[in-house]
Amino acid sequence: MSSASYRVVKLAPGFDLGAFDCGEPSYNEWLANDGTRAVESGSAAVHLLVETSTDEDDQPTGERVVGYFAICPTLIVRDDAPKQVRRGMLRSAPGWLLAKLALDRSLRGDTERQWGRQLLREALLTIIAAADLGGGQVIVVDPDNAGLIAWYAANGFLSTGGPDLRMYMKVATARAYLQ
Amino acid sequence: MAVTKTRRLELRTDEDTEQLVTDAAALLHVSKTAFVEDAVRTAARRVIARSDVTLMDLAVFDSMMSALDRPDESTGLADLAKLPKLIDR
Repeated sequence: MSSASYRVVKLAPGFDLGAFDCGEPSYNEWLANDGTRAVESGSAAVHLLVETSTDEDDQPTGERVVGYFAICPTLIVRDDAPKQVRRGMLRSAPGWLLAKLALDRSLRGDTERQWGRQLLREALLTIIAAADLGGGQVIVVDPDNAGLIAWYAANGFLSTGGPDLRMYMKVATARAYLQ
Repeated sequence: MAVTKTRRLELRTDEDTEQLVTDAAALLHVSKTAFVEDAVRTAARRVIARSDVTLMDLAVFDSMMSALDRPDESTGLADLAKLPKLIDR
């Protein structure tokens, strides 16, 4: 029986990014047009979820990109007027922004295997590893549309209470549960 | 630092918006110019800052920073951790 295996790799030349379709054109276009540029310019790291199909003899028959996430540094800033700042009070903390996370239509809606949450776990593990090496103790996510807020909340993210939809999780929390 | 204001920003608006701005500025005891300028500057800064800065409510920020190394309780993450591992590294 043919089957498939999955792995996460850093974006590299040779992958067909144009075939990826998560159902959201802006996310498809970002991967196809801006993903490589973001990696080259150093503004973000992009990780691909790659599906490798295998035949009955377990020989690989093909592979395709079925998901991706992008991570970049962010500074979490206390949202107050500068005049309220007291001397010596911390006003900002470095962290990591999970800027994009998208899954191909072919993997969406699988309530048993839950590929979205599988990919989110990989993204969080990647950020934990980055924090272990380079600091940054907060994970921020940009749900982009209000419909995703509940999904991120169900996976441990809390509201920043800021002017946009961004949510956060301490790296310490992710580490405690996922490592 | 004193800043010399040499530039103009002009805009057309409707009667209701103009009245709203007038009332709001009066409540804060500032001029309409000062009110609009402050609002516009804040909005512009937020747009420009968007990609690399995350603004956090001050109470949320202070609470987070006071226990940055202490994990929060999360049933969602506990559940996520239990999913079978399907992705190789």
